[in-house]
Amino acid sequence: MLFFVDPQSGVPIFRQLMDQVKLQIASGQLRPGDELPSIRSLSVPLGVNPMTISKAYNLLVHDEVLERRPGRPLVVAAMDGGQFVDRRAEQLRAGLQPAVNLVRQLDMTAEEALDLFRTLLDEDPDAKSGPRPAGKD
Amino acid sequence: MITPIILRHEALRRLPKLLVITLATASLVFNLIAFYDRGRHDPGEIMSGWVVIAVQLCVFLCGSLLLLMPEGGRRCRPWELSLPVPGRLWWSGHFFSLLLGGLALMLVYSLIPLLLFFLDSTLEGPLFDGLVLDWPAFLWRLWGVPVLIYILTLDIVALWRPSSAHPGREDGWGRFLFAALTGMALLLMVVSRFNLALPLTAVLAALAVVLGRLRVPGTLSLPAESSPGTDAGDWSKPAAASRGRRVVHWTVMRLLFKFPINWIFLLPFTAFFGLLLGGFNPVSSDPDALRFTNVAITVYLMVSAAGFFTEKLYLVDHLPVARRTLLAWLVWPSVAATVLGYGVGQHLAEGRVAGQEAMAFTNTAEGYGLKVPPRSWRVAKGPETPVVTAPWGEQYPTQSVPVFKGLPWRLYKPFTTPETASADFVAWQIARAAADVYGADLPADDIARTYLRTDPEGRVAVREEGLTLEADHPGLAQQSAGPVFPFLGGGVIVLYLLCLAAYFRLLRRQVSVTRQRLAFWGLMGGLLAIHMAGLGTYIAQLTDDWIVSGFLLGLVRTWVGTTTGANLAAYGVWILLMLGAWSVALQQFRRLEPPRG
Amino acid sequence: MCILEFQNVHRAYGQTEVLRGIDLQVRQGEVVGLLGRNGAGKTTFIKLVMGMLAADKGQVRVFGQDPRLEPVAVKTRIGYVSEDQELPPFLRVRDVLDMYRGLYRNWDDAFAVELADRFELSPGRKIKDLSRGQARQVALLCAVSHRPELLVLDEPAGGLDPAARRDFLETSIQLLNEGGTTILFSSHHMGDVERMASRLVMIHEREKWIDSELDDIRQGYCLAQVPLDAGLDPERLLTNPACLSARNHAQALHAVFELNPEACAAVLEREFAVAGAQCRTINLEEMFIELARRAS
Repeated sequence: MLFFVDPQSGVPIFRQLMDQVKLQIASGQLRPGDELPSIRSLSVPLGVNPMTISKAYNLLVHDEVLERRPGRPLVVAAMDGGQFVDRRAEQLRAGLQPAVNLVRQLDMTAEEALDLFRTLLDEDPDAKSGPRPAGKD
Repeated sequence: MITPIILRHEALRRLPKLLVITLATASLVFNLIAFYDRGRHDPGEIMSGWVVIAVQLCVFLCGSLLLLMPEGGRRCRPWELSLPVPGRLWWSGHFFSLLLGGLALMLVYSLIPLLLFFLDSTLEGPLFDGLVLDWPAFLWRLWGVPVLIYILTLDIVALWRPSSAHPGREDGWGRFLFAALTGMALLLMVVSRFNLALPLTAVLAALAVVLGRLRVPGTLSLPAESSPGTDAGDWSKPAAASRGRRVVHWTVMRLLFKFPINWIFLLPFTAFFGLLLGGFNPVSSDPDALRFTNVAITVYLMVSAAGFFTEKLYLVDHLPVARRTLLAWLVWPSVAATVLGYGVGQHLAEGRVAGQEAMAFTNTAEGYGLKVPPRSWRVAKGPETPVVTAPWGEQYPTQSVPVFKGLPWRLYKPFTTPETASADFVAWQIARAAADVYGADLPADDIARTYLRTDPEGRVAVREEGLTLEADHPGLAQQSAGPVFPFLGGGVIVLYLLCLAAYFRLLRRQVSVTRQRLAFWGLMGGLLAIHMAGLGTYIAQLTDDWIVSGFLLGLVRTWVGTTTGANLAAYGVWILLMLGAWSVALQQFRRLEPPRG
Repeated sequence: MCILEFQNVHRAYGQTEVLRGIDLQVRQGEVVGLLGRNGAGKTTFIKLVMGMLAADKGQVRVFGQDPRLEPVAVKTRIGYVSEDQELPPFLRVRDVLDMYRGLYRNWDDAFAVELADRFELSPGRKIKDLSRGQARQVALLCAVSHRPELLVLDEPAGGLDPAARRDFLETSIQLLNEGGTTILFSSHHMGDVERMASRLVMIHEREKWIDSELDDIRQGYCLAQVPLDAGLDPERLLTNPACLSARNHAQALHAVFELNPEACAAVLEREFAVAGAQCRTINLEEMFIELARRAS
């Protein structure tokens, strides 16, 4: 699994990491019980102060997204179905909010916007973006 | 078009500082020449003195090229090659800048001796009595050949790799040529027929300039940079643990001392003055004469490394090297050079002294009487000096000189033998003098019988072979003057440390490099001024070098004595003073903040 | 443990005051980013830490000791890299390492060689034949290889290419990982400061103007992107005291507010009747520019 950070984006780095972990969990790339990479092994390739990664992990533990086990690396916390759905919704909401703002700005009706949304969803992802990225199944 | 090219040249920017240094060097050199020539009154001999000046002029001019040339003889900077200036113009600008700079330095350098000579001949001073010179010929010889040789050297600079913007780089050839030319200059002066040498050199020089200019291409090129390369290199060999400290020492020394000037030039000079302090006298027979004259200049030379040292201190300031260590590394080369020079000087002086008689009896137009070393004269306060009375009542006033014109103290000779003295008196004085100089007990009758005669005018005189006391009495050796080193050599070291302390005090706050340089050159200038003032007192006849020697050595003898106990006490006090001066210097050095631009 | 402490430190250069009344405490393990405009006094600050300058008033303590009174004891535990540092040009790389080995007790040769390999430095090359970036890498290598307790960096990445800067960063982080190192660095590369610093200290007008955790500072500012059809122009936004700057951009009006994003959105709605403005935290570079401009 890959994380990346963009120090220019204005979003605090720890928050970027938290968001990426949550996205990967919500998309199924990280499953409950999967171990997360150690702080040490992440900090050098990412080029980030290990304390920042530690802060992100701690907050995720506090949010009960990750689980601490004594003497072992952090793992993704177990989730029930409801939590999984909530998490996915949370991710999508963040992505949709700017689109909603744009709809309002362009003064489109809800029906026009939803039609467009449905059209985009129906488009064949293979034809558009080429071969699927290798890696997670 | 060529004027701005010349004006922007670094040689002209360095010139003001170099002119000041030249003035100092010229004074230094003339110091020696003046003493060298003092005993000579034959114009031919004096000419040889001026020949020495001329030779030094050649050496100096060739050396000044090294001082003037920036960055290995750079004709122009890399970015200047992008300007629309043809190669020939860069070449010419470089050549003429160096030419003008060198001539300016030469002018200043020869100004000092000429000025002093001119003053001396108009004021009829003691240095060059009754000398009449053929001025045009003399000036031609003084300036003509050296300037031409200088131009010849410049020609080599001009001819060498004319196509390059940086002719001097990557090669020791330039330096070798300077050395060769300097040797040639010396040879020419010694051996030459001036009349042939001048036109020959003139023609050669002109040819070289023309040839050089023709060979310059349209554009100068930069020297090839050393290729960066991707040689990864082998890290597998670990270095010896002890290598670390050695590299630290050597690197710090190299960073904080201006090589090669410091080690090749300044330290030998310091050692040379140490020689003079020790008693070696290159110009006259008296070992004590120059000893006390050169204290300020020796301190000057010792302090001279400190300016560059503090300027570069910022390079090592962030490293965990103790200030005490750094100060020790600054101080030990100068101190070692002085002490070494002193020791060698003392040894040489003893050798010289062993070869010649300490006492002499003169009976010539210049003077009559017994001559003893200055250290045998005595100091008396007040305008009158004691009269000397023989046991049988014969009494004469003693010959004396003021220690310093205007001051009451006088230096008098207890062994005065005036012209009207009897043979018995003279013999008695010689015996007394021998007791004082050698600690020997020579009976006066023997002396009278062996050495004394009567001259045609009826005065007591010494036989033709002279007063050969040492030759005739093999065991005779001059008594030691007592612990002179703690006062003289040791005193110089203590003064050096105190000067350092004063200089460091001025750099307590982080000052700009300009102010640091002002402080340093101010100190050096002060020392030089003290030295020149000392020489000035001699020239103005306020005192003289042997008088100073006699006075100070007399003080050592009177106040300290020559016993072993006295020696130990003197050295002991000196060591305490030195430790005190060291700790003062160290304390100030610790507070020093390295200057930054 | 307090690694570094400044108590009411004053320092002047001639008649010009450079630092006034600086108080600071840095604990072990912190990474402090020192910011300020050019000439604000960052280098003076760092030199006071190193003991290269003396404080006119007040106290400087490093590892509990005064770096002026115990210079060697303090400097042996500090790794120092500066933008204008000059390594001896006549030494070869391997000689420089030997020199540092001789100076510092805790020299870790294995680490030094590992770094030299990673930076692709060849032992036989002279410092004067290296590029500026390579020379700086040698300096960094020497500064970290003796496992210093405090790493002091004065614009270490100035003039380096991005790859060299990244190498630098990674090496510093490696030190942090291995535990215990405190870092004090001044830099103009805000990206590096974002990545590395846990705490920011900004010096302005001779005084310490900001000293807090990076994230706390960031919470105090935001960038609002106001849609153009809201009918606002920059001047109107600037009438609000919390608005630091406002500029027209291609698709929206960008304004920097000294408020957190939620408060900013509320203000925009309440005062300017703008709905649908996006407020987000701004990145460090923009924040620095706004702070520096506002301060002057």
